[in-house]
Amino acid sequence: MKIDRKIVERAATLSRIEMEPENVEPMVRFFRDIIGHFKVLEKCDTTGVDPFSSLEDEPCPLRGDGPVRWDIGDEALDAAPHKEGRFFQVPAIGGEEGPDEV
Amino acid sequence: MRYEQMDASSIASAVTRGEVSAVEAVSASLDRIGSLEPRLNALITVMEERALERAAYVDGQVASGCDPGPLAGVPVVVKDNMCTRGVRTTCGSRILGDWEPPYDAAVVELFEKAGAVIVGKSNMDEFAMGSSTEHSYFGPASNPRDISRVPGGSSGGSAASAAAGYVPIALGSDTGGSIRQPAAFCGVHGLKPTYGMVSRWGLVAFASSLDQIGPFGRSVGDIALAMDVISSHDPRDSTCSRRERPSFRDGASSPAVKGMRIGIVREFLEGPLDPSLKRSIEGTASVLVSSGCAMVEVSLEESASFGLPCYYIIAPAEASSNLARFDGVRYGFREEAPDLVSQFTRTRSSGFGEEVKRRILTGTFVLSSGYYDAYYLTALKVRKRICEEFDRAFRSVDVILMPVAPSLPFRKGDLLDDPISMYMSDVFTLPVNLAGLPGMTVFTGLEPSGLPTSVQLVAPRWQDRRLIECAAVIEERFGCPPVAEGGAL
Repeated sequence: MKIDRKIVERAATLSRIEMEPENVEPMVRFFRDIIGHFKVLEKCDTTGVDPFSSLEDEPCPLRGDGPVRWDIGDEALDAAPHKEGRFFQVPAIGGEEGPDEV
Repeated sequence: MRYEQMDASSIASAVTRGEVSAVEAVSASLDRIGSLEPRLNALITVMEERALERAAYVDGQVASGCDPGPLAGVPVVVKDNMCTRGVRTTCGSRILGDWEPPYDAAVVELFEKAGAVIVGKSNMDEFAMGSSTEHSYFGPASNPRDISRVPGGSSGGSAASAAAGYVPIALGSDTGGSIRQPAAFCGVHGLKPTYGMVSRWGLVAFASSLDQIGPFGRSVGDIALAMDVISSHDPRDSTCSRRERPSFRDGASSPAVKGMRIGIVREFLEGPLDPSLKRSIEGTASVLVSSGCAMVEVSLEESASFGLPCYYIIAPAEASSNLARFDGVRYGFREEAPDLVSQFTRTRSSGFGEEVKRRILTGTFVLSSGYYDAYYLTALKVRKRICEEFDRAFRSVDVILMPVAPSLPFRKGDLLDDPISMYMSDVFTLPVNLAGLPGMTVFTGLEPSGLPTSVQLVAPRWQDRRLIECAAVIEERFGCPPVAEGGAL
């Protein structure tokens, strides 16, 4: 597999991260190095091995199945960069003029 | 009274008996921080006001005859990825630079309920991604044993705080070695408990199948005391076990190691390893043998060969998912933009540092269509093999003795531009996280250069107390870590 700018730029787009032009080539080199290390795993015989899903020495402890009242909505909203009333405020998805509520 | 030399139980006893006040103990800690912090940068936030208020509350409890708890008046530091209500919790990142959580992490609740007083939030690699505490938006921390060197990471600020005598106990988190490696670099003890032993409610997630909270301390007794306080079931963390916890303090005060079989890992001693650290393993083995333990050679060939690449697929994959929540909408830093997607992208691009971006991109890549099976799914299968390999090893031994890191603490800047070499710092610690095992760094001495040596002990899941017992025997021979002067003239 060829590791090139296209692969790095695709990963950046999916990650919602914009790469400065001067940082793309160092990231391509990093990808080549780290993926080279990943290839070592091909030497591990995983035939018939189930993928790890959890540490299996006990079942996941479950909470009680009942409603819980949380009254920290106002405090949580206080942490938002922008809010209006009981809503987080963000720009419109399509970029229309002015902020919109979601 | 030299508080920086005292262990937590001595401070708590003196406060409980009314011989000293919590305010006095906490003020001494704040003075120590004030004098050394300009050189160490171990803390992102010093909580002077809240600490003194809390100390006064503890003194009030003592005065009114209430039990103030086993950590009465003990100053402590917590890593800045653990939520503190109304006190900023930055994760060492610009993106959370001024975020004040509306709630306390479970470990913060438990510490305060036990009478501890949090004096500061410690410096760390951004979102716990790093091995040197150089990847912090708030600047690098220094190693108090030699300020030209790194304190390790990612919990470098917590390790430095304990080593420099700011506090007797500090809390860190460990995803691939982030308690054990900085403990080794700063010359203190540090314990990563079994996955599921300590609640992670209020810990900002890095890689959820690997993260675990644990203590640093300058005595095994303090590590045990901290574990007795923080290890309990918490229904708010669905991975936190209901299983009954042992008394760690009993393990520290009455270690029963006679007859234990200690595993020495051939593969870990054959690779690159500083000679002083190899001698440390040999010296520790002699101490344990003279205490009635038997040494048994074990093989962890797959962990040694595949642990690092396996970890650097799984941890970034989980990180890319966990860190998707930082988008500038609900909390933290926001970069304004005319549309929503641009706002996400600009916020994340400005808010995250370079190492975090590297890991998010790596994680996104291994999870993306066309590469998932080749990398992520393969890594999950290899992880299963590593778990099984440890299970096999623990059929013939009770505890494994191995190095913490391949080298003594390196100089600041030496590995900053070489991320893969930095990742190698964790080669001995991260297999332990992959298998969900408890692991402990135990201080074994100072080299003539003043740099510390240590060993790592690993036990089967839920046998954390065995680590405390072995560590108590080792400490009896090598002594407690001395307080570092933090470059003071």
